[in-house]
Amino acid sequence: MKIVKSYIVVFFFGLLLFIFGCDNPAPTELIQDNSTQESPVQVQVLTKDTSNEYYSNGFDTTGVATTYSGTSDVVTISGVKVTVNNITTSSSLAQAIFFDKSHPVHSSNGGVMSYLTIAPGIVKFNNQRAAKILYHLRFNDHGIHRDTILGYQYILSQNSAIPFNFDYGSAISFQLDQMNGGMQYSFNIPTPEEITGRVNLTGKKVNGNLNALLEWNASTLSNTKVVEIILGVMVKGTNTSYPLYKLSANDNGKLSVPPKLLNEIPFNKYDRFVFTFIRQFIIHHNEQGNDLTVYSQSIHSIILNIP
Amino acid sequence: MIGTVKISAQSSFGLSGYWAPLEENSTLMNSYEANPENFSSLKDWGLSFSYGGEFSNTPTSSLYLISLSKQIGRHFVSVRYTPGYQKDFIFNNGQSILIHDSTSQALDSKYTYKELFGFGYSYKFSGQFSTGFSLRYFKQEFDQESVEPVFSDTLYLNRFSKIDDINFWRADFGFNYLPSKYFSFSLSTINLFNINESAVDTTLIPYEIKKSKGITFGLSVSPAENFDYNFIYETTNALQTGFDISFNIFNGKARIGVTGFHDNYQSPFIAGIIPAISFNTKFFGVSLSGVKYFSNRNIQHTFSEFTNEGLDNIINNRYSYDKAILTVTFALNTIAEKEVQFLDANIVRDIYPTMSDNYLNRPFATAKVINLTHRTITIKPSSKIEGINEDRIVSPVVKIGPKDTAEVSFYTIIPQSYDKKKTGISFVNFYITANNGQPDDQIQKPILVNGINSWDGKVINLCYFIKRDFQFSMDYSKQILSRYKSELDTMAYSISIFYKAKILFNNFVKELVYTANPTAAQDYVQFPNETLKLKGGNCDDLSVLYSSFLESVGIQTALVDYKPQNGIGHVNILIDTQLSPDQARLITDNDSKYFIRKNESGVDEVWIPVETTSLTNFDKAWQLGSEKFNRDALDNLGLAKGSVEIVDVY
Amino acid sequence: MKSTLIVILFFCAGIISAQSFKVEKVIGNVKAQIGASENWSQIKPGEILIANSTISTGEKSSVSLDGNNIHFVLKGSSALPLTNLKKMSLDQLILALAMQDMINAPRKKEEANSKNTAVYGAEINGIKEPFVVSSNFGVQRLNGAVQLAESGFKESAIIDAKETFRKYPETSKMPNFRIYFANLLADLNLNEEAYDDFKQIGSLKLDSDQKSDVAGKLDMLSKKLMKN
Repeated sequence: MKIVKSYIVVFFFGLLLFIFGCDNPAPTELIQDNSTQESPVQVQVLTKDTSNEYYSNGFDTTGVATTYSGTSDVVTISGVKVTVNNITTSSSLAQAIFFDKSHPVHSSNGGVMSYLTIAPGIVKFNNQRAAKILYHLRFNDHGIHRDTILGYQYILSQNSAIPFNFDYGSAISFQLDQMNGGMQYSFNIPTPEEITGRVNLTGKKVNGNLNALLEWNASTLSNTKVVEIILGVMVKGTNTSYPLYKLSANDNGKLSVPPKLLNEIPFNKYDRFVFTFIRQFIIHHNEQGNDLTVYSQSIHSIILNIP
Repeated sequence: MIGTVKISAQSSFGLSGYWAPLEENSTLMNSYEANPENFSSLKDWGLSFSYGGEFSNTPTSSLYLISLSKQIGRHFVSVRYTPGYQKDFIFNNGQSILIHDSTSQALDSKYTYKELFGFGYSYKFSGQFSTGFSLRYFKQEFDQESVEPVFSDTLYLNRFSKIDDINFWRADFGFNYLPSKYFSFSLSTINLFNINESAVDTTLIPYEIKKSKGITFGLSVSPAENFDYNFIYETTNALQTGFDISFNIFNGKARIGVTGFHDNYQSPFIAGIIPAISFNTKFFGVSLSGVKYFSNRNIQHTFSEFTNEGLDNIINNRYSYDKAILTVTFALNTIAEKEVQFLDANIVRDIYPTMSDNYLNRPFATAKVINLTHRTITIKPSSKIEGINEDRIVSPVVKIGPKDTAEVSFYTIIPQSYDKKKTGISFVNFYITANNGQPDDQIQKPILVNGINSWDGKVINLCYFIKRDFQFSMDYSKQILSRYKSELDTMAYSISIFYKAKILFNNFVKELVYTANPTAAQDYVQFPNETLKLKGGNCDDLSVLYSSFLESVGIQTALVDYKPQNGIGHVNILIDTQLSPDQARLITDNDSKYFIRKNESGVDEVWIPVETTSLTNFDKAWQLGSEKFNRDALDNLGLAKGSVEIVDVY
Repeated sequence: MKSTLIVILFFCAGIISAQSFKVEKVIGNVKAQIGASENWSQIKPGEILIANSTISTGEKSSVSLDGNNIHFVLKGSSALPLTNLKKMSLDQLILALAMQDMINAPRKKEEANSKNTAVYGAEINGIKEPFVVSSNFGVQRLNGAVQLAESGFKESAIIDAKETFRKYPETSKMPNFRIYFANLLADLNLNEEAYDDFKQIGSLKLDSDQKSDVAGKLDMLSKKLMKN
């Protein structure tokens, strides 16, 4: 009898401990001091809709964004390298777009998509005059493919009469002379160090074990903290590219792409990866009440077949 | 450079400190850390719970351990479940997701190290030496959050957890040696065998628990009553040392102790102490212990530090917080407390299997037993002789006063079917049982078990040889008597007994050719069928033979034991003719050839002595028998002086 | 054969060492039964008789024996086993009486306490010597026993008589003999044994003299025993 009693006591004691004792011991929080050689990475989705091949947000394989939404006027200077089959071609591009905030362009549901552009006068980069070229906006409006001309943009490139050359780690002057006695201003745009990327792609898509280790020449001037890498794909048999993600990482030369970002891609539609390394300065100017955003960037795109 | 020098943390660290395994110490039941050899002094079932709190920035409490153990004879098994043996590390793994161009979500990782459960086994070779092993199961869970794209109508990013489990078993072996009450020594392995699951993700290798191999030496001494000094050293350069003081209180034992521990992994040199206080009775124990580290534990640690150092021990490492542990232990004794114990047992008589119920009347062994309780108890002695008894034979109960000793007698029964002719040494197990079904104590002694022909030289015990194999004698006698049926039938009944005795003698005597030297083979008696087969025997064999034949046909006999004078004894027999004294003249004219004894109803009857070694004829044997009887038993007063004894065969 | 010889020698040794008597004088018909022999033979003067012999005398016959420092004459109508022709001490008598108890108790474990045979000092009246001429061998034995007692061998006479009463039950119903030997016990201060005997004798057919004699003895013995 005594034994049975003690069994019961023990049983209830055990039960109580079970019920109230289910905390786990306190965890230890470790501070991420980036001890590893790899960069922390921030991932952003760029192309929300990949089902429509006519949709474009303006990036092309060069990595240069050709479409701007128009919240501010834009000046872009880019040194661009594209590597395909281990052959690298270089080019430079300067671009300026000025929006007319009084003429918004609406989508069919009434939202403002952009604004019409204006050509206020003469734009010069390094004292060379940029050409005035039509500026298109292509977009998908509820399933209808639309291509609208918003106005003009200013372009200076290697193909210009006097070729534009992007000097890395230096500066490029910008000058705007408005017509009709409008205002006139100029400033120097610093340029980042040249970026040269390398992609170490391993694994196979059929095995679902694709892995990409990205390396680049780390910034030596430490005037750029971040490198952006745009991971895109190219549609089978075409030169149409889709940027999928933007990875932001510290400019220290190494990054491992989270494998799922590669392996979950629907490979039935795409056969090549495009890795675009971008080292850039973004400078905001306010010239007489007009917001002006300046992008000064070194771009290296690498196109690889998906193994 | 990853992977600098890997140094080891303590393996023997236990939450209740290190306690001497010198005597009953319930806290030991918990620890496979300091006690991988699973030593225990528990008697039966043990159940133990450890519950405690950790003094991190936000104190937590948890159930650290449940263990269940059982002693089965010399075997001791235990299992434990250790939900609180867990250490988690949380850190940002460097990945983040940018949503809507502005909000950033950081991705975290959680590395969890658990010891889930363990199993221990030990075997006690003696009270001094035991050996055993423990098997422990560890779980390592590396949970890394990562991004995952979802390609549907739109492309978006999901957070998902990538979990890698790298679990392993750890097996260790050791032994305990307790040469005295005051000294104990233990030796055990550290990480003797690790049965691993290998990491799929090789980047996780630096984060797995280190499994450095080593050896632990434990030593406890008790230089004074109620004081123990304990020391344990690990070849991985870690140690624990401490002492405890005990005193008796409330029918139990209270203990205060402190253990200091050192390892190469933590600083200062003595990284911390474990003060503990415990109270134990026979049925339960409770201990309250604390782990106090001398370095500040609520500081920030970096991920690179963790990467470089790794982790050796789940419950004691540089990230461990101070703790307070309450351990409650229950000893559930279904085996009752020992109430009585043997001091010694002595075999007082060798076993002569033929003298079967001899051992029912007189003990074959005695034992001194002590009553361990404070009350009078009744004990039931029992014994089992290997090769003879199939079950325990219970002897009469004995009452023993409190704390008193008593002499207990053991009786036994030898089955009729026992038929080994060879003499040999066997063993007898003695048991004493107090109130419970299970014996409180047992002791084993060697015992001489003689062959069935062996005889202890006591004439009274020849009766057993006469009675054994009675059926043979009956068949033989009847077969002879049937040949004389007509003569016996025409004879007056009163003298037919006498004639039957005469016929039987004269017939079997014809088959016998020799009488053995009485000094030879005195301790060996032939059964009737053997004597006939061998065609002779000595006086014992022949008396047994004749008496057996007579008794088998209802003629009462007695053995006359002429005790050894000058080293030679002799046996012959008396026959009850059932004649009245008046009828004696029907068989003889010489009144010295018979004498008178009363039968059971008090009626006088004529008995005649017969010398069985006289292999001539009945008349001669009778004559010799009566002459010897008259001279030795009567005229020389042998019966009165004890040199001659009449032993009735029943 | 050799072993048989050993056994026989062993017995002979016992016989040779026993006492023996020389026949001095024979009157009339005197026979002897030697040892365990079934036959009786006439004896002649000069003959040596071994101790386990029994002698028997016819009416008006007698034999005188000599040996072991004993000279004894057995009168007529008597019989005597020569083993009883010896001087016994009182202690030997007590042992012999106890021995009869032992023989007497088959199928019972021997009991340690024998009868109280302590000796008490007190004088006893002599009684008339019984002597019966009879062909009954038992009576002859008793006659022999009486003569033993008369010759001073009271102790062996008692043993001889007791044996005779057992072996020849009709003799135990003869009050004269019984009273005679009971008185011998009383003479030797074996009061308890004497009392038991008188008690038994009281149940026999007695004449008035015998009755009062027995009653008187019982009274006297019980008083002695009461003192104890």
